Amino acid sequence: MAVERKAYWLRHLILIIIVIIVLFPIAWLVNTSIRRDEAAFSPNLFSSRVTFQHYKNLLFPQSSVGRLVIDIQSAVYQTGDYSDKSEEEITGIVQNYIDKYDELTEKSVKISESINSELENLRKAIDNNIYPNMIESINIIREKDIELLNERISQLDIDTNSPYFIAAVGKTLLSYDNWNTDTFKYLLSEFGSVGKEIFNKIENFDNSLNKLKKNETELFEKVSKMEFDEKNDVLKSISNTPLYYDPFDYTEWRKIEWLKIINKFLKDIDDEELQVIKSNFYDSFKEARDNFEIVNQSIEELNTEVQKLIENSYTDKTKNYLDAVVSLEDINSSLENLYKSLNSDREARKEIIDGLSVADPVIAPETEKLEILKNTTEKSLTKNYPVLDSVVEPDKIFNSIQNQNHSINNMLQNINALEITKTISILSELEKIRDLYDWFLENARNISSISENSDIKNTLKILDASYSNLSRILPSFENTIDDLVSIESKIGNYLIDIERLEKQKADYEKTIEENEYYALNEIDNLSKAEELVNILVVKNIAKNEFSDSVTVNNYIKEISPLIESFTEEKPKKRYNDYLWYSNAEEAYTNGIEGSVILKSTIDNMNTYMSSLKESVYDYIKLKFLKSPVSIDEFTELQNEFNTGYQLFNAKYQRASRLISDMLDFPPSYSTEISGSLKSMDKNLFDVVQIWKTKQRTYFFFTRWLLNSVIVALSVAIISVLTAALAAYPFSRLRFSGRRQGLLVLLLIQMFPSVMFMIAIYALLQFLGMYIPSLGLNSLGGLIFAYSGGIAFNIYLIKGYYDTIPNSLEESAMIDGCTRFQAFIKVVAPLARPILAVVAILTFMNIFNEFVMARVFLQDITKWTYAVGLWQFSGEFQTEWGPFCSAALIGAIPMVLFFLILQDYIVGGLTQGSVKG
Amino acid sequence: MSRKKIISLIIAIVILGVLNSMAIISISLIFSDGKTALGITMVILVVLIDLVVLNPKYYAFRYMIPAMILLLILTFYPMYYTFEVAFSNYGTGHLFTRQQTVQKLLTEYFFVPENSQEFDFYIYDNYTDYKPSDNFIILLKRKSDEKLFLANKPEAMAWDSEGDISLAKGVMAPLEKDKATLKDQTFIADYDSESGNIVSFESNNKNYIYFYSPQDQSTKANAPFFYSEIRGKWLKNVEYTGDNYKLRLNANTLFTTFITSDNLYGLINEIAEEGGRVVQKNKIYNKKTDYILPEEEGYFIDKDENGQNFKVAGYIDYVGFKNFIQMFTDPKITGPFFQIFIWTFIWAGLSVLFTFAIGLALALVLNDRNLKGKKIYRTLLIIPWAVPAFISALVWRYGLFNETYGVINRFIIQGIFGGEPIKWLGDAFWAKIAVLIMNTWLGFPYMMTVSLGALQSIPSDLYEAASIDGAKPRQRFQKITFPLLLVTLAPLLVGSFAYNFNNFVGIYLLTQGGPAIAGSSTVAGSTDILISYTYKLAFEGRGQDFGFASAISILIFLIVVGISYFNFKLSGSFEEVNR
Repeated sequence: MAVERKAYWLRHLILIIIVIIVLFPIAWLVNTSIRRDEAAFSPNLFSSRVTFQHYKNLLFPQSSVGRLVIDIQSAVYQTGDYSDKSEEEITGIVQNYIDKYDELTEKSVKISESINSELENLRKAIDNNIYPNMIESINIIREKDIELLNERISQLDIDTNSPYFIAAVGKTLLSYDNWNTDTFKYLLSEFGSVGKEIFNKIENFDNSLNKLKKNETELFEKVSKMEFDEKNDVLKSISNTPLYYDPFDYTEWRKIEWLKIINKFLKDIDDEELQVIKSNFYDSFKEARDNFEIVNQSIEELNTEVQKLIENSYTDKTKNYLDAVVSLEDINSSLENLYKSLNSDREARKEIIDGLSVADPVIAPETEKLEILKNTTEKSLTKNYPVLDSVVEPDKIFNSIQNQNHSINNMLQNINALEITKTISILSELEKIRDLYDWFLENARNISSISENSDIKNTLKILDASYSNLSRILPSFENTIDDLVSIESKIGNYLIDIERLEKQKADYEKTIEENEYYALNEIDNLSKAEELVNILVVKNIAKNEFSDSVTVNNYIKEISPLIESFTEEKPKKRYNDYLWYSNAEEAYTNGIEGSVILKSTIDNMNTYMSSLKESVYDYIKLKFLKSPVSIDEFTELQNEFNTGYQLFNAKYQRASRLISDMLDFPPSYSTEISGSLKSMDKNLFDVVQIWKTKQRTYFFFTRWLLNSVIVALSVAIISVLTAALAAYPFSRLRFSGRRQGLLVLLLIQMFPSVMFMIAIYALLQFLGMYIPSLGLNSLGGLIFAYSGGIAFNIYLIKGYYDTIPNSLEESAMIDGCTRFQAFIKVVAPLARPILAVVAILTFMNIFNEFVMARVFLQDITKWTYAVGLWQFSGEFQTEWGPFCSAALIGAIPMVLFFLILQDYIVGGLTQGSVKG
Repeated sequence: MSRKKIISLIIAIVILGVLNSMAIISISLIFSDGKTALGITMVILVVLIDLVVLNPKYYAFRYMIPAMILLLILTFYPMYYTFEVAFSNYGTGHLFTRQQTVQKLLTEYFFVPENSQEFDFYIYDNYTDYKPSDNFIILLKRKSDEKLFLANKPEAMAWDSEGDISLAKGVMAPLEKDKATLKDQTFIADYDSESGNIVSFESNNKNYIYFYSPQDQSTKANAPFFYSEIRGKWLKNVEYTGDNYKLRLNANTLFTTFITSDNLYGLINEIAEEGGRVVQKNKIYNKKTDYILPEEEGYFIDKDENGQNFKVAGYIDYVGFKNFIQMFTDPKITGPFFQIFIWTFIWAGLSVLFTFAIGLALALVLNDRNLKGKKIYRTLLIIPWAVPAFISALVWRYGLFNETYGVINRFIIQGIFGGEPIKWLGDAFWAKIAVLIMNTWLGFPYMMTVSLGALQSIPSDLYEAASIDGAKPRQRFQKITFPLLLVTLAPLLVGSFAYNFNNFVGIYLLTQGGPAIAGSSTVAGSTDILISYTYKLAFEGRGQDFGFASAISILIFLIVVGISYFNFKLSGSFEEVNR
């Protein structure tokens, strides 16, 4: 018995694990549909911050301020959905929208007030509780950190006298802009004698600065005790002194006009003590300024010093390596550009060469003609060989030909230098023409001398025709060839550059390869030394217990990269206690700032809105009187909304993000405000929901659901009625063709119906021309198209009729019923269960069908749920909240139907059907 | 015959008459629209209905009239249509009937007539960010009298198979008083005061600056951009209309000018002898060469200047078994087709195997009278089946398998195992794994449910007898449970195979068949099964091929009928039909 029991436990365990795995996608779907953060970007798989807002948005699409601003405008201007509304309707709609707007803004004011009061709670908690706790907790971590750092120092094993170390210190020094910090001074103290020197200079500066401050106070006190007219001006000038000893900006030190102002008023006052104090103050200011300059100068010298040090710490091999790496990067980017230009010019060249071929039909026939002409002329010449008479001038056509030939020759010479020439067939035609022309020109005088001959006359005529034919196209041909040549030369240049750069690239790559091992070793040493320096800097910051958040912040900024590099732990987790505190501070500031912006945005928008309220109905009237006016308030309102919403949304989103982090990663100390954080989180989310411009698709979702229900219900009814009727004779009557009929019913449902769509598409298109409500892009058409799938239903219902005993009908018919009446009154009521099942199954199938619906329905308002969800999934690819809620809204009723009917479905399926 | 009966008969005949006359009107409309097959279907339908209503012999069929209407129009006609298309070349390049194609030939092809007008042209470009853009207008100068015209950037009307523009249309208008209006947009010319040339045009705050002209050497620097971005893309096949002109680029000047052009093709009637009968056929002839175009394989064929034949335009034509033959012979199609064909069987087979293995294992665990909470487990495990498949598929696709954001990659692969993210939908192998995982998840509850039913139907006395003979649990399963299960479930397994064979939603909604198979000339993807391939061939991608898609769907039909025949033999389930 005990063994059996144990086995059951194991069984349950296995089953539970399987159920968890199997239902994981469903659980994820449900959770994602109700979580408030953006699941696609959240590091958490599940979230406990839930909201039903996505469902609300889909099922009861509430307008938002952003949406209303747009909608009021479109309603007044009667664009889009409002174009065919009457005046009363428009007035009503606008009235409605304006009320809604008022309601929403009031609501958001209320919520933002409660956010503010919660923020003040947070403020109190930070000051009284969180801050001291945080300092305490961080000090404990500090001790652990120091241990860890010491361990790492011993691991690194770097000699603090080695050149690497000194170079690393210098390098780190240069990374700091501000030389008047503890860290900088600490580093200087580690930087040998040069460092000491600068350190002393900074000390000098600090001393003189202190003196200056002391003198300043003294002077201030002295002056405030005295009485004279310009006293207040003088006091103001003195108290402004700190503005001028900005340690980072040298130019400020030079603005000593304010000293003159002080002097102007004080110099005539006869008070010796005052004069002494005044001159002390002046002197100390000048001294401090001089010291400042001295420090700055030596810092500049330090730069060159450090550069030298770093260079010296590397051998030549490493330097070459580093140079090569930098140059290689340059070359690669130049090469990329070159290849881009090369490709675009090659495109252009291709287009030109393709274009050249259109000259073929002009040039090719001329070649042929001239060749034949040459043969005949040759014959004529040999027949009556001319006696050369020097008087005979060549016919004038030869001049023209000579010119033309000259240009052809030029062109050919131009282009023959190019590699690409071989691929242009038309050029060989031109070469032929040139050769033929050459022959004619050689024999020009001979031909001309026998020009009385009729053959030759003819020849000259044909030559003339050829010439004019060619001269129509040759000039543009020449131009194009010029373009080709210039592009080709550009391509050539690119290729030369590319070759050169590729060679250089190879050289550099070789250098890199040769020196890599050695160089990387050296670089590694330097980087180790740098790490040591960083550790020492951190240790220096942490040398005393922390007492203020600025030091802690500084410390964590410096130590985080170190901790991450040599421990597995994420700094975010290790220093969560501090981060939580700083998040709280930031959330507080962002929240307060957001509320302020929200308030002023609402105020500004309300001014425009109230002036709009006064005039909008008159505008509408004018519009209907056909004299439309454009209304400036809309633009103003829209602008105000855009800027205001963007600003406070950014602040609120940031605050919300921080608060969600704070909720997800609570600190180790107690805070006692998580309840307030949660409600703040919800409020922030609600305000943004009220304001954001919602996508148009949201407002169609219920329409899609309704469409789906209409279509699925109609098809279910049609299909049950026809199938119930058609199944009856198959069950009760014996007629010829019964067996074949049943076979056909079984066969046709095996035909893949995907291809039916082409025929049905054309059919609906045709129907739509005469009956639009049954055409494409109409629910009626879709219902009609779906109604064809009744074959299997007939089969299913027939099976059920078979189980109803025959005797019932027979007795009804004996009582005087016709067969049809017997069917209606006896069989059909008895078959009610199967009819209901078939109806529901059909309903489910049609509800889920999307292939046909997607092809047949184009209007967004005509879509069914399935098509809409498909569109939704693309539109909200990473906005999983809306998508998952939309999916569940459709899925839940189907799942319930299914679970209730599961026995019927299984029964139906075991008879040979399959779920679609 | 009683009076009542006569009256009802008269009413029936009147109704029938009205319906018939309506049917005749609609049939004539259908025939006039050129839908012969649909018209014939309607005729058959009307005749059948009349026959059934008027002849008492066919009493049984009267019940079927509504079903008959729906089935004939929405099932038999589309089936017939699919067969018809399967033997035709219907698809891209052959989208229109011969009549429609002839119409296109008559209106859309051009040549340069004898008394043509030539135009020089000047491109004006609207620079964006100081770079030339492909937003341009063209100034045209009529060579005969130097009159100026302006033409806009054309709109692309048609594309060839490589995605290049094969027809672009634009409008031109004379430039009058430095202004020209093109499609409600007015362009105002701006002259250079010294040379008197137009340096730019302005319209809607956009400035079009003189950019290039083949007649102007000074703009040579802009030639490469002109060739590659403007002429190569937009002007190659442009047609400008306006002011009684129809202009295209002039081939005789190497496209450096525009020239008026005229329709290239005309129609003549030819009397030919066909099968001993004299028939009149309309033929297309080339107005320029007077060549009558022969027709081959559904194409009109013309000769170019070199006497080479080329295809001008195609139309839907009967091609016999070509679509079926090319499935097995055309190397570009056969490779991917066989890959899909084999994968369809693997997919259906593995889907059945995995779902059955998991479903049976769970059924065995749950089939225990003493197990508490059996009903709850069963209900929970059945949920994946209950969720509509298309919703599940979308959830898996966007939420779970997404490469960057998906839960599986982010939390399981990277989070738990620390591995590299898997390209679930981008890599052929992993996409196949992904569809199988999802389909197993969708399908095992069905197998579990039917296995449970089958297990319960095994008589318990068999087990009692076995335990008396001392059989171990393993032996009991091997010798009794499994063989008996198979007898009951075999038809269902075959049915499930047939279902998955055509499981369009399971593939298409998750991967859309992708990733694409490299080197295929069709839209084939690595996870495509025959049915999704058919769908994509017909409704997606640039080159639609309804003929080939129909041929495949007929092949699918034959395979499924084969499987089902085998199944009926196995289960004897059609016996009841003979009762």
